[in-house]
Amino acid sequence: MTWRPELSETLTAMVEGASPQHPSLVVEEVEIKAPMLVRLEHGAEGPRFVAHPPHSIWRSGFEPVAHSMTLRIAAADDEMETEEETDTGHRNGLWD
Amino acid sequence: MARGGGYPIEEFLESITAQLDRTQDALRLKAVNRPLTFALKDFTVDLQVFVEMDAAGKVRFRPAQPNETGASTVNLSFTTITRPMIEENTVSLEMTQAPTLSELGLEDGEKKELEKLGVRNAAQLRNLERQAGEDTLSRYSGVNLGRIRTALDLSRPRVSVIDTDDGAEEPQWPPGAMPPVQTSPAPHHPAPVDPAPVDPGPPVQTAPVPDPYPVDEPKPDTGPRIPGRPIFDRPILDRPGLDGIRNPVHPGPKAPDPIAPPTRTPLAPNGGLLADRIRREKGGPVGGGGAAAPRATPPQADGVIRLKPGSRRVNLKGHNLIDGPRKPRAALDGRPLPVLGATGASVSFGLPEDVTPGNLDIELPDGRQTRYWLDTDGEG
Repeated sequence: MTWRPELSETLTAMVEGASPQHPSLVVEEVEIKAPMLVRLEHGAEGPRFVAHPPHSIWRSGFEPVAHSMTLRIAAADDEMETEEETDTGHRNGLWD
Repeated sequence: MARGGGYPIEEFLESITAQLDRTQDALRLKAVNRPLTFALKDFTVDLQVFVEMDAAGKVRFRPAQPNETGASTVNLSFTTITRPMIEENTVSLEMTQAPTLSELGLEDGEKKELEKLGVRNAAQLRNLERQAGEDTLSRYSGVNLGRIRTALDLSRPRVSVIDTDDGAEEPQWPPGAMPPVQTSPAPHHPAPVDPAPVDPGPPVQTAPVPDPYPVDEPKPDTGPRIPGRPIFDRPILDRPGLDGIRNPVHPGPKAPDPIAPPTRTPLAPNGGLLADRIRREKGGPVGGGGAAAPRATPPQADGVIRLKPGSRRVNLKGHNLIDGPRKPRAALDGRPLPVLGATGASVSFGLPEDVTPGNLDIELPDGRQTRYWLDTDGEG
């Protein structure tokens, strides 16, 4: 039986592939456009959103329809998130 | 799911969102041991689907099959938004705590019609009814007016038990769960608090409701009283000296009491009958101290709550006690009491340390007000 990864596994693998472990190479932002086979399946814990690239680039005429996907990732900025959380807390009067 | 009829659009979108959240979590975990990590900024997918609607009116996506032409392209874009944006564009958490339409006894078809008007739970139903009226609600939704009224009635806040405690133990009830059942006290151990008789209705009465005016005591003439009828012409917090729970304006020193008529005695400044206040100043027994001294019960109170020594909280237990952002409010002799905790099934108010007998006014989220006599002379 073929392994059909879920969307999160596919995306994590894509991010991993786009961030090389190199001492003098830093990737700040990546945009990936790729065909994707998409399917919603029943899983043990609810619906499973299966999404992965096609198995082959060859067109036979009876392969599943591949959907177009664009993914944009960027280096995370932790400081910005902290400031937003603080502002929200003040706005909600949590520690006024 | 995907075979034949496709899948509902809600399931589809929720599945993608859950997957994107899982990806973000995985990337965040990587940041623990790595100097630089990534976060998803945008995710776009162009789906080749046939958009269909099933017999129940649900929109479904059916992916195009091999060599199947004429499919629509649905472009879905997901992007990261900040917490303030989430709060601005989603329903508040308070609104989601309200009972669902199914819990109000509405059938699937009726629920669907109301959902088209943006009504998914009891709080939203009451909110729309307040704005537009039940007639309009029925007319636009197509749901029978009687059914709307029944659902609205079931969604009203109801108090089944009022009690007090010393605040040492925080009540821990799961959201929406009924509070623990109060057992009747043993005959020779009087209950510290009389659960006040409150709004009649379907909720289970978890404790016996004694008559606030026992048979051997003369009942004050309070006139005919309609259950649920507002006691005051204005809400509690609109009364003089108060501008809201958050910014209470405490009334200044009060003028001496006028001489009271013998039958309907006005309340003393700090609550209680004038006669009781005089007895208290003389050091004598106050209300209910013996057979010769009848218990002090104000004429306007709907019930009596007896505080045992050391009580620091008044707890309301019932149903639908939160209506979206609205919570019950309470004031003791006009002074607002702080809300210590509120769920749909229970609300706790803090009592001042120097609590004295007085009128406890409780206003439920739907505006109904009830006055209880808070008696600190109860036995502990």
